Order: sequence, then C-alpha cells, then structure tokens
Amino acid sequence: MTLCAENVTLELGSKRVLTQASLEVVPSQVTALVGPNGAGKSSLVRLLCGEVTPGGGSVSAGGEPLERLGVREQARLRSVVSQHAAMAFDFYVDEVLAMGWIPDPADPADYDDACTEVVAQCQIGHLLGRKYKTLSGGERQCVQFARALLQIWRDACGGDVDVRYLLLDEPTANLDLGHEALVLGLARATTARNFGVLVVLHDIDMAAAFADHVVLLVDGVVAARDHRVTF
Amino acid sequence: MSSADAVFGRSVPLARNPVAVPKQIRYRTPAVVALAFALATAGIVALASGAIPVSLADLVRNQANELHRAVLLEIRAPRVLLVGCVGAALALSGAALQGLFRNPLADPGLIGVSSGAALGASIMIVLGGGLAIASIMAPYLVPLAAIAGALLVTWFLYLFSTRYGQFSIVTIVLVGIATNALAGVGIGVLQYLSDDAGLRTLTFWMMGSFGRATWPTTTPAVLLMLLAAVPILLVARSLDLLQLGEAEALYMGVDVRRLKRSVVLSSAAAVGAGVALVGIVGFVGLVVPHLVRLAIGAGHRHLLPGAALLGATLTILADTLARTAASPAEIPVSLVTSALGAPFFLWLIARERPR
Ligand SMILES: Nc1ncnc2c1ncn2[C@@H]1O[C@H](COP(=O)(O)OP(=O)(O)OP(=O)(O)O)[C@@H](O)[C@H]1O
Ligand SMILES: [Mg+2]
Repeated sequence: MTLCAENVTLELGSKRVLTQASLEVVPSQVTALVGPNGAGKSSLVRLLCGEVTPGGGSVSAGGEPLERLGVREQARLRSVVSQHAAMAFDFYVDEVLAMGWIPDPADPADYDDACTEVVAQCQIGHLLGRKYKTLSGGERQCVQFARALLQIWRDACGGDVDVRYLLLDEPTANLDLGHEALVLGLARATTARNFGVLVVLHDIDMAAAFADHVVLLVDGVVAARDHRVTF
Repeated sequence: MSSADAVFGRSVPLARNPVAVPKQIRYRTPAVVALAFALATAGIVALASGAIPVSLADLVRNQANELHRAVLLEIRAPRVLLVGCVGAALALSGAALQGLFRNPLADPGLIGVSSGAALGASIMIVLGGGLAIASIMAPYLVPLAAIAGALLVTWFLYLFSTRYGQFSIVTIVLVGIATNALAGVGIGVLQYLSDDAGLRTLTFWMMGSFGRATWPTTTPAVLLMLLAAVPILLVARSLDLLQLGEAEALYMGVDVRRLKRSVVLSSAAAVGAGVALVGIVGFVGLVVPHLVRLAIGAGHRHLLPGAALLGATLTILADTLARTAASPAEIPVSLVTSALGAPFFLWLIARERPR
C-alpha cells in the first residue's frame, strides 16, 4: 500500500527530465525529496499526481496503476501543495479553503467543523475574511497547506483509518522558522493517522532530521537514498 | 507526541472561531434573489413602455383592445424575451470564459467569439440558400452556423493560449483584435461574393437589432440559449477550483479536459444563438460579470446565476431605452451597450494593469 513511482523516465519537450527514477511514499512515514534546482523534483511530484504520464516505468497507488484511478478518486486519495499556486480572481481565504473540501452527499461530515479545526491548527484564523490575493507569500502557503489538509480530511476523521497521501512541493519555501516548524510538524502529525507524506525540501539537514527517508535527486537520476541517512 | 491529536484528535475542545464572515459572502444569496426581482421588474417595465402606450393591467383584466393585445403579445413579448435571453447568454458566457481563461477581459465580443459567430451566420445567409433543406429546419440553420463559428474561435483561442502560455491579462485583447480582423475579412469576402438579394439580407442582418423578433424566430434561439446555460451553471464549482491553476484543479478532482470542453461548447452555443438573431451586442459579457464580482465576490456558484440575471436586466433596460429615447425611431441596442461599456472597459484596463 504505497504511492510509488518505479523506474520512471520522463521527457518534457526535448529535455529528458527524469531517468529511471524510483520513489516510494510509504504510509505513516515521511519521505523527503531533495536535490538542486532543476533536478526534476517537481516533475516527479507531478508524475505521482497523475498530472503527467511517464514515458517509461510506472506509477501506482496501492498496487493499482494510477491511470486506472479516476481524477476524483485520486483527489480523495492524495492532496498536493504545489510550488506555485496562482489565483486569478479575488477570492476570499474562506472560499479558497472550501475549494479543498470535496462535497460528498453520501458522507455528512461537517465542513464547518473540519474547517474550524484545520484553521486553528494551521493558525490562520486571522486570515479569514481577507482576500487571498492580498496575502503575503508565506500566508498563501499556509492557506494552501490548510486547503490540502481539508481535501483529505474527511476520511482521516472517520472511524476507519484509510491510507492517504500528502504531497508537498517546497511547502516551506516562503515560511519563517516558526511557520516552517508548524507546517512540518503538522505534516509529521498526519503520519499518526497513516498518511504517507512526501515533502520536497532544499535543506538537506532539515530533511535528514525531519524525514524517515531521504531521496536525493540530481539531474533526473536518484543519486542517493537512505533510511535516516546522513550525507 | 501529541501533535497528532492536536491535528486530528476530537479530544481537543475548540471554541468555534467567531469569524467575521465577509459581507460579500454573507449577502450573496439574497443578492442573487434581489437580481431575480430586478429582472422581473425590468421585464414588466419593458413590456409596458414603447411607442404605443399599453396598460398591462388592462391586458390582465382582459380589457385590452385587439391592437394593444397584438402589440404586447406578438411584438413586445418575444422581443423582451429575446433581449433578456441574449443579455443573459452574453453575460453568462462572459463570466464562464473569464473563468476558463482565468482572465477578467475575456468578453465574447472582445476576444472574437461574437465575430466568429457573425462569420458563421453570414456564410449560412449568403451561401446557405443553395442548400436544399426542409423548411422546418430553416430557423435553426443560421443559429447553428453561428454556433459553429463561435465554437471554432473559442476552441482556437483556447488551444492558442495553452500552446503559447497563459494569456496575460491584456494579451487576450490583442489576440481578440487579430481574431476580429480575420472574421472581418471573411465577412468582407462574403459581401463581395454574394448576389444582390444575399447582400441585402446580409446587410440587414448585420445591422443587428431586436426589432425583428417574432415568435417563430425567437423560440428556437431562446431554447438553444437555455440549453446552453445548463452545463455552464453545473460546472460552477469546477471553475472556482480552476482559478488555482489547471494542475491544482486536477489535483482537487476536476476533470479539466471535460470542464474545458463543456465551457467552450456551451458558451459558444449561447453566444452563437444570440448573435445569429440580433447581431453583435458589445460589452455585456465584460461589464456584467465585473459588476457582479464587485458586489458578491468571485465564487462562480453565485457569480454565474447573478451575471445571467443582471445581464438580462441591463440588456432589457438598454433595449427599452433604445426603443423609447427617440421614439418612434429606434437606436441600435449595441450603441447603447457600447456607449456604457466602452468607458467601463477603459477603467478596467487601468485597474487590471499589472503593477
Ligand atoms: N514543460 C517543460 N518543458 C521542458 N522542460 C521542462 C518543463 N518543465 C520542466 N522542465 C525542465 O525539467 C527540469 C526539472 O524541472 P523541475 O521543475 O522538476 O525541477 P525541480 O527539481 O522541481 O527544481 P526547483 O528546485 O527549482 O523547483 C528543469 O530543468 C526544467 O527546466
Ligand atoms: Mg520544483
């Protein structure tokens, strides 16, 4: 039961971005993906999200090839905070949070309760009622993180513990030390509920201290991987 | 450590944040209802006003004379219905296209969708005479050709924007200029090619007016526009999610390709059906969604119905003004909407200019 890319190769345009790369996001564990700029980290995340399909190799979730899962099914299985989230119109933070919540008439879980809790945990209560476009980069990242938590929140709160995945592409790039600790702490906390977390980081020390696995990607090739590795 | 409990545990008692819900969000449903009332009022005013004063009360009490009855039921009623539907269709498509292109300037007129429809309709008017088609189909032919033209342009614009990167706010208008010019060339060639009778019909049609609204021509177009509105209203939530980016919408479970297809198809159908009957009415699709956004925010679930209602209301009022200002003569409606819309457009460009 993992979200896993096996020997994936990816070409974008004429550029080979990933070569025979493998990566596994394991439930209840945090996997950190590190590497220099342009190494292909975001591309690997996009493969795991099913946004692009690999030229070679395969991506699967719980043994099921990703292509066989519907878009909606995937959305309930994993949520993503991507490196660059845009916003075209003047939405309120409240509305952006609600975007994460996938309505499901069969499941009466209460959005208001979920939202109140997530907002409190992410400490973004003071941002509610503001326009998203007026937020600072770091504030936006916190809101996006909260939105991603909400997307897979419902099943996490149910009695049964299902496997979910949280994929974070440089979630802390714009955050100060306090918020960085907060977001990474919350991400870590989700593993207690069987979530598998993948986080792209630039700080190798931070990755080594924080993650259960560290994967180093250089030029589209997995250059090193280890369990509790020290580089 | 207990941070897991802190996130997921139900044990942590949380006082519900007494969050101040923004006014725009709190009042948006009542606002949409108010717009519906405004539309009803505008409709009644439009029915009652015109060159021949007609009392609606008399009609209801069945005391109206034959002339008044005919004026109301055979001339004004189809016209007001058509005007309302065209306004609603333009505003709704404008709002949907703006959501699709993630660009506040994506107005069907500005970006060339309306011209595409006009070109399609012209082709059918000039060359369609040669087609041997049952006359029952005839009222649908020009609208269908217009829809095909609108579809072609919308689809082309979408491919263009994905191929060469997201349109910046103003680039889309430049692309629109080119598209409009191309459609203009097509129409010019048609004028050159057509015989006298064709030319007369074409010129007459291109002057675009609601004046020729009769039930047999109005009904099919109105049906088409209503049909086209349904898929747009259904994708409101997906359009919201799309504003975070295409990839993000996909991550959140939106079938982006299907969303695009249905917005492109439906807005082209709505615009095409309208243009086929009344020609190009400018700026409604630009101004109305903006007014609604200013009043009740950007969320599409309220924006889309709000834009449709306000679009219908304002176009009906503009048409009433056009009919009555110089009565018994008539000013073209597009003159009224453009006179009001163009300055608004300038203001928008100044406001949306990247800072
Ligand atoms: N659509 C594309 N077409 C062509 N090349 C691309 C495309 N997208 C990404 N690339 C290239 O692929 C390489 C990997 O990009 P990617 O975004 O995955 O890097 P990254 O490891 O996330 O970098 P960063 O740390 O800067 O975020 C880069 O060299 C980039 O230029
Ligand atoms: Mg990246």
